[in-house]
Amino acid sequence: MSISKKQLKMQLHGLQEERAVINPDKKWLETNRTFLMSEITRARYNEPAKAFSVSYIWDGLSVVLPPKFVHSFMRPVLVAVLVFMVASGGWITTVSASNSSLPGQRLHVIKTSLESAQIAVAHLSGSSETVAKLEAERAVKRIEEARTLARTPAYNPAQKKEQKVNVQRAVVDAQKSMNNLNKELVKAEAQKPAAAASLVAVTTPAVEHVEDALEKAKSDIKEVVLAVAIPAEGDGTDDDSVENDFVGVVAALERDVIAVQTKNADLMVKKYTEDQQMVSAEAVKQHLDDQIEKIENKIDGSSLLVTKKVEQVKKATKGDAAETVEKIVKKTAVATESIHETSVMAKETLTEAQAFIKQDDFGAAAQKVAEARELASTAAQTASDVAVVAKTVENENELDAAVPVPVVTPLPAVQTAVQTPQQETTPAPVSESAGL
Amino acid sequence: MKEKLHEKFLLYRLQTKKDPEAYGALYDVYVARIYRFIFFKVKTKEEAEDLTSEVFLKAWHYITEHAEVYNFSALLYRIARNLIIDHYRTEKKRADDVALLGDDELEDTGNRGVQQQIPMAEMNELAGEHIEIYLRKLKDDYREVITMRYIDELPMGDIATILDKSEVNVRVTLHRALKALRRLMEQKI
Repeated sequence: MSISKKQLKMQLHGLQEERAVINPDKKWLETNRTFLMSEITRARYNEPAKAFSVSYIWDGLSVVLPPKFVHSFMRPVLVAVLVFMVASGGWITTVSASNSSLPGQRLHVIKTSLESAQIAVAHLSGSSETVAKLEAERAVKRIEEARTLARTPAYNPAQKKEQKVNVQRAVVDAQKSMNNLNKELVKAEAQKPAAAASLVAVTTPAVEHVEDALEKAKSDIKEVVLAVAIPAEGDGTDDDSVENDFVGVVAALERDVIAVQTKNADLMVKKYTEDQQMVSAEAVKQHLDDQIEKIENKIDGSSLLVTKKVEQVKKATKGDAAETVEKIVKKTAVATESIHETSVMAKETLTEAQAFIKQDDFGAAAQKVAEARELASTAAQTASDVAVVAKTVENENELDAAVPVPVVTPLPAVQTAVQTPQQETTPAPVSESAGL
Repeated sequence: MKEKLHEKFLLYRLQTKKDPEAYGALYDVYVARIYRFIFFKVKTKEEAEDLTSEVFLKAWHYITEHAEVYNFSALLYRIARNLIIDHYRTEKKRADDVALLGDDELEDTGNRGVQQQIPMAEMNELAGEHIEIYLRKLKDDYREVITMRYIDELPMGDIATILDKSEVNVRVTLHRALKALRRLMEQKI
């Protein structure tokens, strides 16, 4: 008799039935269960309670997921993710802390490294706009840092010296960024003429931002330069050379800012001349008009600042010795005259530029705007110097006021004949290094 | 699938909380299977019952002492196999000891041995052509895979884990086992 596979399987399946000889007695099952439960309950109470363990998490996950997957894949991956999160959390904290750091502080290195990394990535991606934007942002950050550092009080010569070094470092870095931005413009003009117009659109507001930051920071930075007169130990440099270097760095930064602005205008005009579809006459006109308006504002601002500061100086030196007053008044008068002349020249140049714009001679207009920008920069420089003098005079008067007036008590005849040097009033000295 | 999830949940409770109720539920699921597995390997029903009871006690201690148990059924079958091996070792030692004793004692032991053979004889009488008789006559390996697959209805993967073989190996063994069983039944050996 042959038996099919199906019949065989059915017969085997039938062995599951309770009455099959190979199955245990129902009675024994119940007795054994009771015995087992009593045994394990007894054993359970003799053992200490289990504390929570991380392995419970994996066991819990194994309920719904394959245990091999949980233990061989998920566990290492989750642990790696956790480690990464902790590490990146620490990194993010460090980076966010470094955002408010200043030159000379340890975290500042992280800040600058990140900025460099961002710019390197932008270079790799080939986006000139992003590079230009990042360089301008970096310059603004350095200038603002220099300003913050310059405003931080320094109480002793060592602190002042350190402050000056850090301010100078920030200004040098800002100047490097502006230099890089300028190079990027030149590179874009040569290699990517089509993208040059959009690059100008990005760099124009970015550079304005840099210029604004520099205008705000300039007088604070100069104060630091004038306040410190300590040569570096053993390097043989005298104060003047250190100061001149510093002023030179600030001036270089200003020159770079002007160079970028001029380059922007030139690029606009050049693009217009090459392809009037790419850059329209209206866009060039608009760009030049905006620049003219800003230069005019800058000149007016400088003239106003000088007038205001000269008044302050006059007020502050009222009680001073005639010789000192005369000296200061002479210097401020020179400054006023100088700024007046510069303003007149700049405005004349701007008028010429406007005339060229009306004739659609944008090349000549751009050249005139560049000249006017140079003049406005000179005027701003003079105004900043006068502001520093005013501040110095003000500070010295405050210091004099803070010195307690000696109380002169009536002395015996022998003693009254002797005058102490303290009783003599000395006029407040005026800084000679104000650069006027 | 639902049963499998429930079983995993019970095992989780057992591992984390040492929950006797969870263990009781698992016992209800597996006791008959383990009994059947042991039943074919021992001579008497009493031996099968004792060993089954011991398997569950040992499994409880193992789970409460070792946190990582991924497959409860594999654990039970493995304990059962080890216990059967230990059981036969003890039996052999006892038989050797008996051989060294006097005739009187030998007679007593022999009588007990005859009594213990009852289930087999009982099966022969009752079953006639019942399949379990032929299962008894199969090789251990064949009987194990047939029992697990067609009576206990375990998945191939679980059988492979329990027997510590590959799934392909289990399939081949199962195929041969079925063939051997069919031949035995056809020939009525």
